[in-house]
Amino acid sequence: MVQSVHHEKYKLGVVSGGKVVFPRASNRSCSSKTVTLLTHNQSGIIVPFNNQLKIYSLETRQCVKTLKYANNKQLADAFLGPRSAHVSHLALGDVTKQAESDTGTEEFEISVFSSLGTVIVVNYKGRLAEEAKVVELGNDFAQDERVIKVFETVQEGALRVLTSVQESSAAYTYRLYEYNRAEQKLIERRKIDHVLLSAWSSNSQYLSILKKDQSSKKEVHVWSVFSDVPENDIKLPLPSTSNSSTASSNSHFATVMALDNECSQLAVGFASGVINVVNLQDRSSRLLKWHIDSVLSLCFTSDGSYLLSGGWEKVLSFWQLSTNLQQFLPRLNGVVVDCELVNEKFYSLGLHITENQMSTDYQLLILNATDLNSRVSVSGPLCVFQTAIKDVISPVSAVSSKSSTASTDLVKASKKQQRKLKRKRQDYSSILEIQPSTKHLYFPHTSAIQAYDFYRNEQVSYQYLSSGINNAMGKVRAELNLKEPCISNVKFTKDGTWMISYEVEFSPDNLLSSNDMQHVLKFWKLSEKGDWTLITKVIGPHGANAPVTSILVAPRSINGSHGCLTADNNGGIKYWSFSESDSNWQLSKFAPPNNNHFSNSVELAWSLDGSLIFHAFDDKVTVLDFNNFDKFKKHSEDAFNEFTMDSSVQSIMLVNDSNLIVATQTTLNSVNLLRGRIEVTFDLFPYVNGVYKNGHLGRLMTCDEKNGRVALVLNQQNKETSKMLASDYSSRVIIFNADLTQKLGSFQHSDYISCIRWNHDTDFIFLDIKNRLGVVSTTTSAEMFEEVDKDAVMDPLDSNRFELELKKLTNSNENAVNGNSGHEEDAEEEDATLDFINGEKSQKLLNMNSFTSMFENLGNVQMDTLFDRVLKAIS
Amino acid sequence: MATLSQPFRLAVLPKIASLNNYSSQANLLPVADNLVPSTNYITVGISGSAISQFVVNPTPKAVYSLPISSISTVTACDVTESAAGTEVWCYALQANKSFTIHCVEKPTSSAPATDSHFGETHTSNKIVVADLVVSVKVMKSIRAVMVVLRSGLVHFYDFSLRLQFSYDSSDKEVQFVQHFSNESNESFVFLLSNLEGGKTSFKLLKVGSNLTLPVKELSAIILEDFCLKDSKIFYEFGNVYRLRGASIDIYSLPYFQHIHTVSLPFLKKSTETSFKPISKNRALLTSDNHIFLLDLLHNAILSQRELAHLKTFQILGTAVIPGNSETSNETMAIGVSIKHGSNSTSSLDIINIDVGTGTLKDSLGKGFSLRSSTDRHVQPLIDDMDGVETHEYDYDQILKDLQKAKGSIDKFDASFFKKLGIKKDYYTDSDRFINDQDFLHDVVSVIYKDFVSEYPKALPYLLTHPLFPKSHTPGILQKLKDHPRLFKQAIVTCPSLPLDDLLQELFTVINDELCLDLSLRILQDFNKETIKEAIKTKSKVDVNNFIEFVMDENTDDDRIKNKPRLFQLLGLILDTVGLFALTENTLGKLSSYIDCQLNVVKQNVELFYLLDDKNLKIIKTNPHQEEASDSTEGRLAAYSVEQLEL
Repeated sequence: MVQSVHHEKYKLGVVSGGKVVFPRASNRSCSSKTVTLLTHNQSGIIVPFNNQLKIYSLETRQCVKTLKYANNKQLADAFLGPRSAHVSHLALGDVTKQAESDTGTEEFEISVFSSLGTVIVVNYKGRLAEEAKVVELGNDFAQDERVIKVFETVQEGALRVLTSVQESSAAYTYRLYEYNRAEQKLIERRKIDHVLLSAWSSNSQYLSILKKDQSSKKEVHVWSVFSDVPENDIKLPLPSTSNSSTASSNSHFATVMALDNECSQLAVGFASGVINVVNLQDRSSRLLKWHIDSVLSLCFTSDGSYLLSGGWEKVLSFWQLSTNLQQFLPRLNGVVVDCELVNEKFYSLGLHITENQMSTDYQLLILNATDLNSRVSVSGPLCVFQTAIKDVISPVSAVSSKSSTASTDLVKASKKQQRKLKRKRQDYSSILEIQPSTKHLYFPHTSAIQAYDFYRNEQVSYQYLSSGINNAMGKVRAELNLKEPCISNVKFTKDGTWMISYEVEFSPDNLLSSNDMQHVLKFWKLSEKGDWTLITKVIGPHGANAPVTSILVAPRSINGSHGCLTADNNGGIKYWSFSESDSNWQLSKFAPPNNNHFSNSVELAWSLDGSLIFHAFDDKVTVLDFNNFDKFKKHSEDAFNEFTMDSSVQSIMLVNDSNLIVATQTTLNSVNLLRGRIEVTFDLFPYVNGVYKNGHLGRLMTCDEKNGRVALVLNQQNKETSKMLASDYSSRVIIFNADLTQKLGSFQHSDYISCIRWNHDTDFIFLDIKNRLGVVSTTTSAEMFEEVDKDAVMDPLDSNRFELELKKLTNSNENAVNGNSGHEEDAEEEDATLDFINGEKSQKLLNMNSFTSMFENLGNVQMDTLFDRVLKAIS
Repeated sequence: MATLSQPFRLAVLPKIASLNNYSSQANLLPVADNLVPSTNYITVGISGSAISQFVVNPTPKAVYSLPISSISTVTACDVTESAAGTEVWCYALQANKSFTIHCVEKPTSSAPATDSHFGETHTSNKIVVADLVVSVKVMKSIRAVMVVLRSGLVHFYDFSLRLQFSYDSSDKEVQFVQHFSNESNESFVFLLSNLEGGKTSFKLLKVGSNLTLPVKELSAIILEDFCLKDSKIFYEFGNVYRLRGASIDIYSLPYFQHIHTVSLPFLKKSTETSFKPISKNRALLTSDNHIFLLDLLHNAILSQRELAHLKTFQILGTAVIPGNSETSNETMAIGVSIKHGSNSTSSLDIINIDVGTGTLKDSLGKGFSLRSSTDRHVQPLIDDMDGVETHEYDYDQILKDLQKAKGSIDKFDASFFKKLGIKKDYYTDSDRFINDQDFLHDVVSVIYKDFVSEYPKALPYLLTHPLFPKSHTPGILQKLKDHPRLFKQAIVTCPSLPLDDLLQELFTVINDELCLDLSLRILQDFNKETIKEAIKTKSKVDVNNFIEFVMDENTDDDRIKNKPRLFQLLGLILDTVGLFALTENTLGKLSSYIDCQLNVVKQNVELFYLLDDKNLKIIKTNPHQEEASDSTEGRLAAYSVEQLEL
């Protein structure tokens, strides 16, 4: 009989994730970093991401609608294309309409301004229009000229556009344009050179600019945006914070400004932490001192009676300007880089989580102005990459550190970053683990861990796993050089009830012990509330200074998966297991290390029945018998207990309990364990060749444990751009069958993929360096086919499936016999049996994905439409 | 570990032609389905002779027989202990066209069976039935005998063979009946019967716990393209296995779904086979006089045995065990064998079997399935892109060319390096496409065979190849001893050198450089415990040579750098052989040497404290262990020595 091999098609889609964008964060001259917009009815807030616009309801705090750029050609062109612009402004309604005659204004329209001057009008309720209206304003822009802000008047509908071009590392040239409605063109009204800092009032009526004049004196200009008479400007020199001439440069370096709505008060924050509030009528000024490090954000309330300020302390400070009294909102998640008024009722805070130096992580917080409590928290997945990606921005601080830039070395910092990026080989891999029971994605984020719901596309929780300064407050000045403990690995037991985390603690700099690191292994239990409780902590699990290079969770057949193996870089392995009697994790078995051979290429695999462990160390794979925790058949010469690969092993996976997939630095191999031979070999060298740190290739490979499919990611530098900045990548995901004899799919993705994992279902989920999440999935479920069943048999705990089905059959039969209405039920019974005769279970298998599509645009769907959708999904 | 024992004889079968014919004998010898691993009594229905009970321990012999007429064939037989001390024997006979069922209640044979119980007679009940009896089963729980006739009728009798219940399965040609029970000890039975057109009907029945409604049909399935005639079928732990030709189909109950097919490439055609369950996912398969213990989950031959003194061996019955316990997985099977020779006799034999644990551990390296891919080459991962580098070699042709060289070094090297496109005389990344282990193995074999005193340049190249065949490494050092260059090359780069060989050379080689290389290689590849053990097993060890080497005041850079490791190895060796194994002279030298080294260390420590900090680098105790950290910027400690004025 010929076996029918049936493979479902895999598909790739980038569907989730994304980063909150602070469009003006990279422009140091802008005090305001974030862009948000309240919807027409004031009940929702629109937040731009790098891959979509999301609308959050202020009442339910939930995301009610997403506008994905990829779903609309115009948006995709503007924001996803190679020119990759930001959203620089959002406005209600179609602000570009040519005249009053254009009356057909849609109720739910917004205008999206890109930093390149493109305006796209989309509606945010209902279906996204196929063809959005596009107005191109940026045709006459100079090279690198970017829109940073658009000002509107409420009544006349006049529109002014502010752009900037970078002159030097600190100074910008600003241009203010007026929008000519009839011609749909911009007319330059004003040009300001050598701008160091700018700020506008919350009502977008007044603009203040700090510039260097001809004699390099710093001068502040304040004027109403819509007046074009430079003579009306209020001009004043930069207020100083100290009279002493010996003051450090930080006390002259203004980091942020704010202007109130009446244009009566101006606040300037300095790198030294002092805020100077100037009364623009009488030019009197006073100093507000509380911040220890640079002031990073300032904002007046709408009546001008309070000033909000934030900085490195992760504390939002409220200054009552009439009394100089202060109140605080402490323990924010990140450094407060922006605070703004959304309207009378809400503040928005831009938080930058600076602990992650490899990427720029932002979070947007919407606070209720009255109780400061009810908040919408907006963030994407927070990922730490192995090396810093491009465009990493660090806020200004009084001192220079890894996560901050000092006022004095702005130039140096950017050059250093450029240099780093020019390195040819970049390992941007990152860690992502999927919790088996909730299917949440877990991202280790320096000393915390973020749980992220892929299907809802929301953060679920953010929990600190280790104690550090930053858990409760921000680090300031010299503290910034303290290195926080870093979660460098995290695993979950197969039932999802335990989390195993491995962290490295660093010693302070400039000590003899600076290079000593403490390695800590922690075991966490999932509590009923859904957070993790620390049960066992092991300091130095492999001895002082020995790192844990690999962690592998036990299969279900060993202690119900409540066990794990850890391996060090010296050949030692330890088995830890949970003891019910002591309710603690304990070291149960160990194999001693070899003290003379070190390698970071350490990988582990475990057979499903728990009998054998495969330990790859450098270029050798050793088979260990789990029972005696020693080499399998140690004294037998011809036993298949050790094999050498062609170069050091980067990743191993045991598939279907019969194939060991071994990726080395040069090749990808399928080793048939039953025959003891390498059967298929692929050339991995061109894609891996020293790019990834040892052991990191495992992040780019994963295996569907149910059917043995193997997914592999290949990242490649784009050829065309390789002469310039070596940072443009594309990638491929290749899906193989269990023994690598067949490629089931090969997909391209336009960016570097830093991690791929199996979602404990039928799909593979991947993360790219723009924090976007994608999925490679099959639309139909594969439960019924040959390979699936085979592997289910492999799992020893699955064996009672037969018993279950038998029981089910018995019970249903009994019911039928005992029931009075025997006939009808018999008929049903027969139908069911007939189905089995035909060899197929007719019910379609539902999984989490089945319903995801119907929650799109849920905001304005009628109840019966929803029902239709549900029926469609299940029928 | 899974093993099969040599069979031992239980009894010789009577000289009846059909009983001694290997094609028919297995069907004429039904074994009572009550075998458990600890069974000491085995009941076999021997057609034309008797229903006999045998004892296995201490000496295999027959203990009781119920004689039957010589024209009767036993079609089914079952024995169950009905109450303490009594057992019920039930068997079905066929004599020409008459079919009978017999039931005997008798006291249990007393163990240990020193006496035979021949001659005892017991009341026997007998009834005539309409069709061939396919199966009888004594059901202790309901004190009844369940009988399945070929015509599809299922009868329940009490022990006096009074009909209690009858059920018509409406099948016409029942071929296979299997009883089984689930975890909660409920009993089930399924029937397989022939239908026309190569179809088979499957019926799953539940056997109730009382005689009012003892049987209920749970499911009925018609299996297309499933011919019972040419297949050997058994049930085991929820699955049905069906041997047909040289492949096994596996179906899962209760819906009889086909799971997968296992092909048995080792099975020769037209041999006499038998196929029986033994343990979870494991089966016994015989083919003429070969017996195999198969793991059908991993597709591996766990154990096999050729019974050279026999012509055929067929399994009749097995004691099935779960086979996943840590302690004992031993069980037994009964079979029938025919010796070689024209007029040979058949006998009942027993084999003891350790079924192993059923894990991957047992199957590792024993798989029988064929290679799924025939490609011996390194394939490109992406094939739809330009500029993909690939090399494919015609390994067979190259090997032929190399064999043709016939001991000519030049010729051999010329074709080796040219055909494989090797540019350097050592392995580089661009040679990664030469990775066929069979080929490498063959090439080394050819070199070993054709060259004796002088070796071609290909050998040092191959020694640098990470995939140098492991099978050729034992003894390679001895072989290359006369070629210092090759010898050193082997020590430094040849993968998986056996520890024994390395130690052997370490204790005999006098050259300092090689000694150092050997020491480092040993420490690199093996951990302390292994080295100690290996030295212990070496019978005569002369460590003086090595000690001399360590003590040698050679100021070679490499040596000084590796001194800590040499001391480590010295410590290991001294620990193992013991100080008393050394001569007094050596001990004295060693002692003074160590004193001297200690002094040096002391001096160094003092100097270290005195050193000015300026150029002092932090000496890491273990430079490699730090690698996990971000090694971007290593800062120096700013310690300073200050003079205190008192």
